Amino acid sequence: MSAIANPAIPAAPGVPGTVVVPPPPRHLSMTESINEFANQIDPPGGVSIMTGGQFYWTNRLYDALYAKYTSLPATEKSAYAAYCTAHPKNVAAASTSTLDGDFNLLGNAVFGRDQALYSALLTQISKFLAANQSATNAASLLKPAVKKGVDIYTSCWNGYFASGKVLDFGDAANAHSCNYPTMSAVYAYESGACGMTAGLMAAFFTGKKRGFSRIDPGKKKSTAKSQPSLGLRASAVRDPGLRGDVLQGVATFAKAMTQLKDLLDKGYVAYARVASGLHANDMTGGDSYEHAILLVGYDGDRFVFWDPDFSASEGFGRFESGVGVLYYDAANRRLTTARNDADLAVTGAGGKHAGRDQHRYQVGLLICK
Amino acid sequence: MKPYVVKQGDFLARLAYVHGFDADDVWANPKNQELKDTRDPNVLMPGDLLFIPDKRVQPSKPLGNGSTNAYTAAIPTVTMSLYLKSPDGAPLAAEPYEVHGVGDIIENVTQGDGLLELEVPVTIRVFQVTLPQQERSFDVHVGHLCPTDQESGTAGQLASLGYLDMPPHAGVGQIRDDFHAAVAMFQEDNDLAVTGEVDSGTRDAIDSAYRG
Repeated sequence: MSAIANPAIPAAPGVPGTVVVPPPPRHLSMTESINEFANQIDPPGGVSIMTGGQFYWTNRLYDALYAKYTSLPATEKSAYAAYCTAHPKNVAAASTSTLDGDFNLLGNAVFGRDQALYSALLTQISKFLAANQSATNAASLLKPAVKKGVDIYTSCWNGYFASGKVLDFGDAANAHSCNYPTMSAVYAYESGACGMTAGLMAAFFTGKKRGFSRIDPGKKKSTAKSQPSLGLRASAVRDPGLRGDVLQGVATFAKAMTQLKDLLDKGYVAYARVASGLHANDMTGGDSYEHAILLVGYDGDRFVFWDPDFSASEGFGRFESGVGVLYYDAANRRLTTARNDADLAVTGAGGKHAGRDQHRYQVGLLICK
Repeated sequence: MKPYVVKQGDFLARLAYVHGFDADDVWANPKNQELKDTRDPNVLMPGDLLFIPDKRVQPSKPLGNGSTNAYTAAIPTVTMSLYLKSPDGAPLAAEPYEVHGVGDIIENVTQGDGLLELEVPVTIRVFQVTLPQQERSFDVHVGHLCPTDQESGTAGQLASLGYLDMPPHAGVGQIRDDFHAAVAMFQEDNDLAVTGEVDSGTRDAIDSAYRG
């Protein structure tokens, strides 16, 4: 028999009072949990926050810019081709000498963090624009960003929370934001916004953020109205071998895992700071948890999580990426994407498991949301 | 008459029984007029000053050696009324329940409007309600609801409405952040300006929701 949200109800004799009784807790499978999470944070209309993750607004800008440069006037495109023929380019061989092709490369350079290519292309196109004042459509794509990445990120999400509508960068009213310098600034911020985005989505999911309706009370995620504490901290164990640093939980780890399962059943999600395999072998302490994910459900000792860095996790169920599974190793007090000791090895490029297309995450800190 | 400082869980009927005075007489005493003007006798505030008579000396009862002596104590009761609802506001009608902690276990079902009503001896400070079909249980702390013009009263109502986890003996000062968050959530749910502060409109809305 579970207690209700507040097991201690103050009452007075002779004063009728209301007691709200939440529905009984129920365990959802990992598949059910992640589907429910996705259904909640991805509203109808193909907004796709689930797969955009922490790079959501960069993706929106990328798509809007694509629509713009592919529809540039033919006169501007032919003028660019002529300019490139007449003026040797100082750009990598990948440059196509077509205006939409080089804009495409410019967008990819942002995502690929190729600053040299980005600068070279920017210089090349800017020179063309300086020599061709009539290419106003192309020029609009390079207008300088007017805000910092963090300001754009914040205002975009706040606007969504307030209205429930996603800012359309392709709309004429937002043309001042639809340019490559803005995309570059947003990307620079979003690259480090895993924790911020995970926190926002946790609030979104549990219905605590303004502008979102509370989740159907009949469903699982209905009873989480305040944030319980959940202490789980791991300390770093230096292992300079093939595995890189491996974390081991403190003595209360098992208790925290029991609490975690109980709270997931009650409708909470858990915000986890993780050490990714990206920095295997260069950790020096217990606070090097450079990434954040959200745990949303479990089956036995397996936990399904949403990864704001959607390309870093291999997928689960109907999700080809952006979702992964953590394995709880009670004997070694570990919660990681490694299924066993052998799987702890980080041998793939960029901190990935050998033979697995995802980062090797190790949970170091958990907070229930 | 001597001053008595009200404690958490006190209400007039309980104090009258425990201290052996007539509740109506004490409440009507001019010395308690100020308290009477501001309080419901069933919803007192810890720290309130109530003037009560000196404890009555009970007449002695003769005891016979080698004989059996039987005494009956008539403990007065008070009515506790709780409307059980689901989070969407629908009453839990005809809901089976059990009440533990008031003597024999009481088994019954709620009324059509979700009302669970029972008589409780004034000496009972807490009883437990279990709802087998909901797989839920909760403790009811009798006399713990504070006046609703006080933050602690509002906090108690928010706890009952499911917005706040409030330990039975906690003051609002100990859960200040949670309290403001709960107020904000209530305001959000009820289309009020979300400030996290209890203004008069919010207080009235919470009181109205609590009283059903």
